[in-house]
Amino acid sequence: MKSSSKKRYFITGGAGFIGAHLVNRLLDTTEAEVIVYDNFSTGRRWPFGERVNNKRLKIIEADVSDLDRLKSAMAGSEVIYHLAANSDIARAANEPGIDFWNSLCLTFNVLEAMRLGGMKRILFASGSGVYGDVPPIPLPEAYPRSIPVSTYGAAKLSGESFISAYSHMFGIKGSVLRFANVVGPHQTHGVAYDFIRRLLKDKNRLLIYGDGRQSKPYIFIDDVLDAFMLIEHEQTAGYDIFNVGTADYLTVTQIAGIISDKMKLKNVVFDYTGGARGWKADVPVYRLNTDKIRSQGWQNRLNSRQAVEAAVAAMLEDARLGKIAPAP
Amino acid sequence: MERILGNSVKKIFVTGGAGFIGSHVVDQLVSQGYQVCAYDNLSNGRREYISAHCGKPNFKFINDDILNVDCLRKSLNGYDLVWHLAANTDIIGGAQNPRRDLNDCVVGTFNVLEAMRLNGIKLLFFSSTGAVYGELCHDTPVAEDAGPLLPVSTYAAGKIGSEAFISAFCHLYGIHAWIFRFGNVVGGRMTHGVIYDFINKLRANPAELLIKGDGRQEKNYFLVEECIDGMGWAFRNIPMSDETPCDIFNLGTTSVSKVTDIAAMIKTEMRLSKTEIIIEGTKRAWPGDQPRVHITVSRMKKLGWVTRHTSDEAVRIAARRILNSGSKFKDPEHCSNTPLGQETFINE
Repeated sequence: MKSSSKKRYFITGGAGFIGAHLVNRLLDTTEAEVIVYDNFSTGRRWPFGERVNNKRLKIIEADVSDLDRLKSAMAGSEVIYHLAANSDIARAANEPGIDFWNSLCLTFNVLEAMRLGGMKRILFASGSGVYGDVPPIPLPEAYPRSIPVSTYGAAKLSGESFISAYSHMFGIKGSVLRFANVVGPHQTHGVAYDFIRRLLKDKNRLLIYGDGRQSKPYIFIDDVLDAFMLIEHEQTAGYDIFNVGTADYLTVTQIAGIISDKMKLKNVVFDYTGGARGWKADVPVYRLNTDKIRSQGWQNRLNSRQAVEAAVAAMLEDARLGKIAPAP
Repeated sequence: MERILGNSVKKIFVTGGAGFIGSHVVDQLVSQGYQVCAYDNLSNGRREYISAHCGKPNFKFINDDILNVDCLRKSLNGYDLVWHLAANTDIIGGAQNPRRDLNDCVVGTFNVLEAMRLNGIKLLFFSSTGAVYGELCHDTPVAEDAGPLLPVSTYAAGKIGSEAFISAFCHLYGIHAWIFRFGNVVGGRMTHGVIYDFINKLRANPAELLIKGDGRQEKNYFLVEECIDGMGWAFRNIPMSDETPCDIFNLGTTSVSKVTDIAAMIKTEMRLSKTEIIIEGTKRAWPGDQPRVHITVSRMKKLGWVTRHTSDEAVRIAARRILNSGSKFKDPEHCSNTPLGQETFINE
């Protein structure tokens, strides 16, 4: 990439699910240069399509845990989107170190690289998991007491805390976006993704963790990108937090139904493992109050059902092209 | 008198056990007949603070680091309760080296949690701080359910991160934890803090005392023995459950002391009449400083526990203890001469 006066974005986890969509949006709608920094543990190149040849895109295959590499790669970037993290919440329930080392410590490294390199702007993908085991009322950002029940939530909450501290101590401007369940084309994990893979393997039976009544808001990837773009440009405070989600919700059984319909499977038997929680660290029911970001002018274009339907349609297309494998 | 942790636990593991608070915890536990292990890397802690117990059958000292995962895991085996106090205490240093707050606080706490999980240990005390409330507690006293927590220092961020992982581990692995957000704990053997700093400055130069910041700093000070008493009281009286496996308690006095009053008290205690007190005048003494920290301890009060001393009394008593301790610890290597230490312990 030749040096120029163009704005330069630096995106950790830039080849992951949200990252690749963000990269595509930035390349398609701005003149900016984009650096993808990703270890390709879950990231992939194919979602960029033809853009891999775009001169404004640079892909660096490296790990955020490598601070020296990170520092030199980040040099000259203006806006840092920090998306690299472990996203497998269920697995981390049995291996708590994953979230600690692959989420929190990465966030810290990004902040250190910024402090040492003089970078001043970071946007961070957090999640509803920070609230933890709290009442199923629409939770505002200022909800007083977080009680994380997963190491995923703990890692996000502590990552946020360090961003807050760095913004006060070192003049870094930080934005934290706490997303509801994000869905869309090229998902790398999540309930709809898992169900599709299971049904590709066995179209007669579908294993469902929990009692199927877990209910959560789902947000479409394009609406997530709108939120990022808005906050990147409009936030005035040195540090701020925004919930981003739809106002409605879907149950896990409803999602199973949507997928069975789209796959034109008539008599799928749903096998529930039972219990309210899908797995040990699951928060089965949550709602987000999104008044704050809506007051800035953001709104979701798709509701939860539309978002999941659109994501499922896209994933089934990927499956047809052989890009999604049946469950093992 | 009731023993501090009652009779349901016997073996207590104290991280940071040779430090300011930790060594006082060890004093109490050992004298009350508990089996005690003090685990400390002696970065802030001092051997002489625990040397009085060396050689006693119910005391062990392990000179190692909570960042040494292997040693920590082996050492923790068989204990009933972990009293986790080890942490970076150099709050100002965070501005130069923020990674210390990540490593010594959050990584250390994570290592303790993992060692507990792998050893099946179910009880934990954690020392957090009122600083987690950030700007919230600048003017009005805040309770445990105040939020959102927007920390202004990496020190406070490290404590929030530790609390968050404790919460997750408690919910996932059946650990019960009592989390205490301290006011400023003071007493003898302090190795940092405003009282310690003022005394040292005045010993070096009795003619003047520089107060950093705007001189309007106000914080809640309470004595180390009252801090320990409050933790033990919460453990005996407020049980955790599967429903609520961890809970948070603000711990301190109901009053605050002004930094200028602290300076005046120390001046008096040191019998200095001519010292000129100079106020620097900047808003924050250092990046991440929280000049005013007001926490309410009404939850503990409602449950039935209060400190006996006011904040000002605590400051004066602590100053006297530091001034009187001048030559108390003459033999810093004393403990090393006893048949203790890492080797004897690990092979047990």
